[in-house]
Amino acid sequence: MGREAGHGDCAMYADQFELLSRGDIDAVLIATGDRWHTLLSIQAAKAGMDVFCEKPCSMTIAESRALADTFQRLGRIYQAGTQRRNGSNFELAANLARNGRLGQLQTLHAQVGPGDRWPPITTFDWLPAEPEPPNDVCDWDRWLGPCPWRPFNSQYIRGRWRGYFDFHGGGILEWGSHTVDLCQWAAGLDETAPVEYEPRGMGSDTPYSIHCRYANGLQLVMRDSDFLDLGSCHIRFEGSEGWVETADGGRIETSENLRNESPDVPREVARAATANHVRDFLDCVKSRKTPRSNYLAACQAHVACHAAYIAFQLGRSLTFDPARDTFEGDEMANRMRSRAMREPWKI
Amino acid sequence: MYRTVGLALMFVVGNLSMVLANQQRENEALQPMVDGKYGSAAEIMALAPAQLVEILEDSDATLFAKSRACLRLAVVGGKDEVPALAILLEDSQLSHYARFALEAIPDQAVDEALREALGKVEGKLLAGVINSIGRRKDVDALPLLGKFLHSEDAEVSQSAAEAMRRIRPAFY
Repeated sequence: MGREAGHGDCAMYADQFELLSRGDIDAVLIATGDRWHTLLSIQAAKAGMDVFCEKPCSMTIAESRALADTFQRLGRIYQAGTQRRNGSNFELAANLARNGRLGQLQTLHAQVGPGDRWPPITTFDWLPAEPEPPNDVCDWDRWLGPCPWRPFNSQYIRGRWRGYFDFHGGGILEWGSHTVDLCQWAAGLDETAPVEYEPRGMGSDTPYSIHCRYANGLQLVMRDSDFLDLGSCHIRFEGSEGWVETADGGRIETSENLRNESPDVPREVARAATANHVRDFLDCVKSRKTPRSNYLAACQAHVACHAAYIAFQLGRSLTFDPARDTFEGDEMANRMRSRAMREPWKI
Repeated sequence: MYRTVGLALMFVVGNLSMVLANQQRENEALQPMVDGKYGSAAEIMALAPAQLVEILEDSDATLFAKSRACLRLAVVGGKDEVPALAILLEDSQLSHYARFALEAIPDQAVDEALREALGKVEGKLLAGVINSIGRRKDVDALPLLGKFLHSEDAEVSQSAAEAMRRIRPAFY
């Protein structure tokens, strides 16, 4: 990394907290597994740093809220790694929704992880135990961090940690953290989450969907399939006067009446989303303005995904109060809003 | 020529068996664990609370089975399951799993069990119990937590300070 950045003094730390205790760092990029994202973001903010954190940003509703509360209280800059907010084609689609060209918005569609590759929810399985490597190869206890202990298996550290309850939020959170986020952004609903969640397709990996409704009546459908094959991470916005759909490929499909207002974005321009997103963050570190994927937007999109996940796991419809982060009349669902962290970790 | 073809064949067959052996090892490494007595994670998670407690109280049950039972009790456990979980707070391997369940159970019996555990555990396990008390905002635990503010164990004293702040933010 040092060579890549043009200097040779890139320091490496086995202990993240040693790095965070340095007094000369303005901002950090957090690109660990999901299990560490919230805890490290909060610790970095407490250490006076701004944070760019990969998504998913949290493991639970409670973590999402703690993240937003901390950054609001401390006034640090937070950018979630939901780079599509700075992708030209997604921005064009969002603008069509915002400026009334679609008429009255009726339904937002967010593609969640296609179930054949990203099952909607995770398993409680353990892989068989293998001998733990030496700490300088992999500090297993540190790798697990706040998650429940389980025996070492080399598959986890080769990237196959996804799909397990302790480490991952399933296909719903994996893609929903991008696409639900885009839907809420386009609809001007960054400060809330749907109030109703109805899961469909339980018992098989695909097709599946969660049909949600906001307090203002707007529908949000999280579904894994039946989009227009425009790439990964589709979004589709439908209004009384028209519709628009796009995805990572950059192509934008619309209803006939909007064809002239939605030029396709060349693939290379669409791919600039990540660079634009990092630029947005760095500009905000300097200006102290709010980046596009700020803590509140990220928190609320994640809350919506976690609520959808809980509805899917329980296999029943849920009513949610986004002002209090509480499910109404469902104690089991409320219990699933948080998880105890393994000692000594806490947020 | 036959010799060359033979050598090439041997090379291909040798490489193929190596690839297949590696594939088999990888497949075995990805086979989920199954408890000989209680079955798979999914089977354990489908049990009723009383049966989950039986696993916790079974001295022959594996860590895998007991940990799955705790995860499930976080969602379905109640007052009746608290004593079996409370005992595990002193178990270095299962203390966190017990807290995972206890933190989620909305019953006063949990707060009483966590307070009682303050005098039974130490080190990281004590820090964990204090963290759970803080998460549950147990006001009755405040006088007990104050005693740990000056613990020589930094993890314990920091957890106590954080828990007290969480329970009574205006005071601490």
